[in-house]
Amino acid sequence: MSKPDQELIADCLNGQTHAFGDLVVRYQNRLYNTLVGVLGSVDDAHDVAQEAFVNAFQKLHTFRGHSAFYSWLFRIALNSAVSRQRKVNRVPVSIEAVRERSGIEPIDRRPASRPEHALETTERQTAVRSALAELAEEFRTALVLKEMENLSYQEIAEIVGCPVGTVRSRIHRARSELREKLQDLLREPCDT
Amino acid sequence: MMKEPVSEEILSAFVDGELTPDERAEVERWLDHNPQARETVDAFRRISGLFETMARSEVPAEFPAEVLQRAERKMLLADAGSVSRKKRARGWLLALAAPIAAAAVLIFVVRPMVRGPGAPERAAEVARHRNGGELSPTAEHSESDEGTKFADSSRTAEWSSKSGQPPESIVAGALSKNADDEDDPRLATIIDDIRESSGEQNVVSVMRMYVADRAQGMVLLQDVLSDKLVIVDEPGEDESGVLESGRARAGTKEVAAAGAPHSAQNEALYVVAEPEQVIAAFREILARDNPGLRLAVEPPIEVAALDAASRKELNDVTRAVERHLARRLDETDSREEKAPAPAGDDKPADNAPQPAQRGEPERKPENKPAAPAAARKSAASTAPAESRAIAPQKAKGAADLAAGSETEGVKDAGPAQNANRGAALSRQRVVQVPSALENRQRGSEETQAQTNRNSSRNRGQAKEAQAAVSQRQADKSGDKLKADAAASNQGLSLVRVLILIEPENPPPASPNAEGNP
Repeated sequence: MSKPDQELIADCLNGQTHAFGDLVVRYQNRLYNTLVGVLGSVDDAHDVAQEAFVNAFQKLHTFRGHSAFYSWLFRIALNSAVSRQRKVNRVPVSIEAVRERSGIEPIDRRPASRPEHALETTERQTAVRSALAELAEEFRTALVLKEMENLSYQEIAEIVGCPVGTVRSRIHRARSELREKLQDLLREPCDT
Repeated sequence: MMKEPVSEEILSAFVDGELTPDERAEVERWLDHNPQARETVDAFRRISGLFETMARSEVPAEFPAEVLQRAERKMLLADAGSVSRKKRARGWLLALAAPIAAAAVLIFVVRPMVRGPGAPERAAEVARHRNGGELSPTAEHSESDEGTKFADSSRTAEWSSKSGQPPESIVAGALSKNADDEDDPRLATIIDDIRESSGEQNVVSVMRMYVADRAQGMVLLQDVLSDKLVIVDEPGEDESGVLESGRARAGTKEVAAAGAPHSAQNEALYVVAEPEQVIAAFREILARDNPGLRLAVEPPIEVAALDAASRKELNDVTRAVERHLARRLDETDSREEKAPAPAGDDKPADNAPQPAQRGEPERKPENKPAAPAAARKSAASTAPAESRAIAPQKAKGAADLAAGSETEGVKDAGPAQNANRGAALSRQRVVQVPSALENRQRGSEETQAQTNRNSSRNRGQAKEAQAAVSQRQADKSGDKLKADAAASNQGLSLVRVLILIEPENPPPASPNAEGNP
């Protein structure tokens, strides 16, 4: 049976550093995929996720356990991501650019998938990523945390450091903008 | 029934299940009578559905090992100061040779315990381990019953001038092997890196200099390098190596423009010089009062791995040094024919060109009347005006040394000789950061491993390969003197260093008031 986060953290602080490896394995894909959504780039997501884990390791002794470890970790990652995003200041301008940048070839996981459907899925996902990339950073982050992490408004507020009301507003703004950008897509019959 | 319209924001929260039961009931009643609101809710739900179909991917299998390696580098070397590069390289090779799998997490165990509970005891253990110089065949050292092991896989060391010194026990252990390192522990890894890279012409050492202001950092770096006779390269110089006054002026503009870091985003300084010149420069940089200045040693890069434009920049600077050396040797040979070769009191540098030493009786420090003349000639022809264009104060470098100034130069040669040799054997040029280097920064550990392997291989072949290339270049020019000089240049131990000047990022805001990471 896998140990709870707090036990792994305690083990790590007691010198059993392999315990941190367990935490990395536990959260690496979750963090990575969310960062892909926030940053729009698999390379950047990989780097930021790695940096976040390294920083978390360094600061692990400051973690008090008042919030979930993942929330704490994601806050660290978000700081890195935001500063990186601002530094690079890249805004994908085309679907192709997003496809190239994201580096993700969408996978149709359904057994009954057809080639043409796979293509449609790919285009749909690329369109979503492109529209997402055009959102303001704070709107995109809030929506990604809601949709991909399924976090509550309260949890998102803790992570991004703003009131719950602001989170609600940002998510709504993000959805409204996406609705505008993806009207054609949203009019299609939803067979997913 | 609601008396006021329900806002879209409320509908969005409704989709997320973020309303109270009362609010939820009220919205449901509203939706029963408002088709447009129902459309909005439907659209929001479909957007959520789009996220559900988004592709998810997984990080590479070696991700945990990479994380722990980076953590080790950051935490341990930052504390522990220097480890000999050979040891580090050996640790890396062993670490990289290990199969990368989930199990690797347990192999690349890091040593945060240096800072944790029982830190002094563990720090002493680390110091003993490092100072002992003997790594076990697996480069691992079992430390505890829990199976905690050491894998000496560090390649990067960083020090901050504001973060204080490493723990004394570790510093003492790390520095006891090298008396030169005693003056400043932050220099230890730099010295290791520079000396290991000397004479390896296919490999470029990489240093990062983090400064608060990049423009000031560039000026500081060029200033100090010029004081150490690492002169600014001059792109307008003609192929013969003769500096013409008109072209020198043109070159001044070019370099001044290139050296205006205020407008450039990714500038770096490429330096070809003798190792001791570079070390002396870094020593002086650290000695100066520059709050926040931080130096980091990066893994070396291969010239061949750079893109064509970057490679050309680097090769141009190297060739400039070789051309000047060829000219110096030519002049020396001419003098040698006129004057008998003396025994020479100066202790020659190990890596100094022997013909130059044999042929410079008038450049002994005791012979001051002749020395300044020779050195001024060197300074006039090789310490170009563009140095002044960038940092006026550094114009004194070569000329003052030539006149017997007290400025610290290459330790094991007289000042006049230093001026001559330094001017001939050193160059700096502002370059754009090679894109290949940037790409490398985000490369996988596997790529890094390959680079390391290539570096090791190239280090072994560097002199031979460079000899052939230099000989070909010289032969192509049809100048026998140059060919001879280039050939004799192989006996030198120049070092090639790319110094990246980076703005110090502001510390990330605390993501958590309680944890304050």
